[in-house]
Parts: sequence; C-alpha cells; structure tokens
Amino acid sequence: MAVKGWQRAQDPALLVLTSLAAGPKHGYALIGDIEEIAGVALGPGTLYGVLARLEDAGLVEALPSEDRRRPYKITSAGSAALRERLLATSAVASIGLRRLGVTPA
Amino acid sequence: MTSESKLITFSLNSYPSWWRERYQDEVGALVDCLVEAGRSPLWITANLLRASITTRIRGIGAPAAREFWVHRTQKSLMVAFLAWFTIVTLAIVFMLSIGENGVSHGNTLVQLSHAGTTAHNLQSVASIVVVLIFVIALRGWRQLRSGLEGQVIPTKLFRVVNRGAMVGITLTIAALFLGEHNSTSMFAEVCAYIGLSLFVCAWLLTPAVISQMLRHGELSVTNLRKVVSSSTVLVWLYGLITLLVVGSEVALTAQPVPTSGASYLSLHSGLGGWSLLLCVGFVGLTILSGIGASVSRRSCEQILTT
Repeated sequence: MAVKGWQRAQDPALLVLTSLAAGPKHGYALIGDIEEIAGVALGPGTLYGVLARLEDAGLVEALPSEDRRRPYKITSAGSAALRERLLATSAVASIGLRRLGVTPA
Repeated sequence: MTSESKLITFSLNSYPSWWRERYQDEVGALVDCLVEAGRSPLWITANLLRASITTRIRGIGAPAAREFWVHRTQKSLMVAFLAWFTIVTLAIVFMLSIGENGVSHGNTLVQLSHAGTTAHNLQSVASIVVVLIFVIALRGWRQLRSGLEGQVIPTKLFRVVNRGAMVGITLTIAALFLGEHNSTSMFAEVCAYIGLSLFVCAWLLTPAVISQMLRHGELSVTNLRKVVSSSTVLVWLYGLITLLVVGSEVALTAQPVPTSGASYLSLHSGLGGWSLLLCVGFVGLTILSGIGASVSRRSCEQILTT
C-alpha cells in the first residue's frame, strides 16, 4: 500500500504542464489526459489550484472561453520551465535505472 | 436541487471572492462534466473544500495589487491577535480553578504525589508564559497603535473602552484600600463590583476596537513586519501554554486516588468535566491563531515582492 501511495505522489504542476505541452486543453480534457498518461485522478479543486498558480507564474495562459469552459495553453516560459524540469528528472531517472541495472527501453 | 449538488454548490461558494470571480464558472462546468462521467459528488466536494482552504490560506490566484495584500495581512493579523483575549481569559480560568485537597492524620508530613508535583510545576510555568504573552501582546499593541497613529481618528467606541478600562482599574484598586477598614467595607464591595464589571466590559469590547482600527487604517510595511513577528511569537507561546495546560490536566487525572483513612495531599481542578472543553479551547485557539499568523506572514512577504 505504502509503495502504491508513493508511486502516485507526483507533482500536479508537472503533470498539467506535460499535458498542456500537447496543445491547449480545458479542465475536463486535462483531467482525462493526466489520468491517461500518469494514472492520477486530479480533483477539480487540485487542478484549478495548480492552474491558478501556473497562471500567476506566467507558465500557462487562459484562452477565450468556449461556453462556460475555458481552455489553457502553455506559454513559452512554461515550455522552457517544463523542458528544464524534465531534463533534470530524466537525468536522475537514467542514473537511477542504471544503478538498478535496468536498461531503458 | 439534490443534497449532493447542494454540497458541491456550498464547496464552490466556500472559495474566496477573488477566486470565484475568476474561476467559479469554469470549475462549475468541469464539476458538471465530472458528475456526468460518474465521479462521486462526495469526492468532488471533499476535494473542492480542501482546495478552498488552501486557496484562502495561500492566497492562490489573488490580485497582485498592493492594497489587497496589505488588507489581507491586516485581516489575518486580526485573527492572530484576537485569539489573545480568549486565550488569556482561559488561562486565568485555568489557574484559578486549581486547588489543593488534603487530609493529615497525626503529625505525618504529607506530600504531593509525583503526578501532583508535575501538575503543580506545569501550572507554575504556565503562569510565567501568561506573563510573557501579556508582554508580547502589549508590544504588538504598541506597534499597532504607533503604526496607525494619525490615520485613525479615535472613535467613540475607542474612547468609551479606554475610559471604561481606566475607571474600572481605578475603582478596583480603590476597593482594595477601602476594604481594609470595616466602616467602608460595604462601599468597597460596591466599588469592586462596578470596577470589575467595567474592566470586563472593556476587555470584551477591545477586540472590536482593534478590528475597527485595522479596518480603517493602513499599516506601513515596516510596522506590518513588526506586528507579524509579534504575532508569530505569540502563536509559539500559545502552543507552549496549550501543552502546559493539557499536560497539567493529564497529570491531575494521573494522581493516585486517596485511600480512606490515610493521609493524602492532592491537587484538583474546580472545572471538573469542563477541563476537557478548556483543553479543546486552547488547542482550537492556537490553531486559529497559527493560521492567522501564517497567512499574515505569507501576505507580508507578498507585499515585499510586489
């Protein structure tokens, strides 16, 4: 159980930015995409907490709303921050996998 | 409207106004989609409520305007400081409620049990902490007054409370002197009743005066930082006194039950079953005050960055 909990403890901001890297999405599409790529079910409160923080930091941008739904897109600063973060994570991941004797696919 | 949708609406309304203006519509649309997709409304409500508390505490998505953050800091300081009045009242009640019980048969020297001595020591430390709380709160009050001087015209309420407290203290001191003589003891009693009543009324109205001052004035950043640091120290002291009170109450109940016919000495709380409520009050007020101090510190940092 503890291992399962640890595996799910991923940074929601990273997940949102990764999802938006594929193109603009509104809240429901974001939740669905994140569930598909990471197996994490973000709640509406969590998602909009992250979106508000990312918007404040200038990493995502709200597009004109369609009906009541508003799509968000990643900004160039957001892409740069995501790239930097993923490179750092992948460096750690590849070292960790090498030490475990696992060859990345 | 079903009870589940009422819960969701309640949780959406629990967000602060700045957040609701900006996100409520789209979150409402998202929630509708999630419910249609079969997500549990209770899970959605719990998630929204937890996130709304975080949003309020951290000021997520709040406007960047300096005035907003100054008022937010002042409001949270009000929460942090106003718990003081109740904490001090509860501390006084706690200290007055402790009494000593004992029976000595013959000339045997009776001593408190280990638990009784611990309770007594914890109570003594708690009285020192109460004095410290008074000193720090007075320092905070002075910083607040000097920061708002010239900005807030003393209101009628402020004058009434100030004079009421002064007259109350004077009458109580006078009653102490008058009570020493038999001829004036009746007069002293009346003075003491009026004096104490005035002081208690002033004590109860002071939080209203402080909140009125903070609502109508604006502290400078330097003053805000000083008051924020005072409130942080106060919260640590509240935490300490809470531990001491809870520890003392636990030690009181851990005292050995006196056997009939044997000599004993033990401490007891006059509050009886209310002791538990007292402990809950201390813990609750410390948490409330801690939230206020933490929000004010974060908001103050935000002012410095804008």
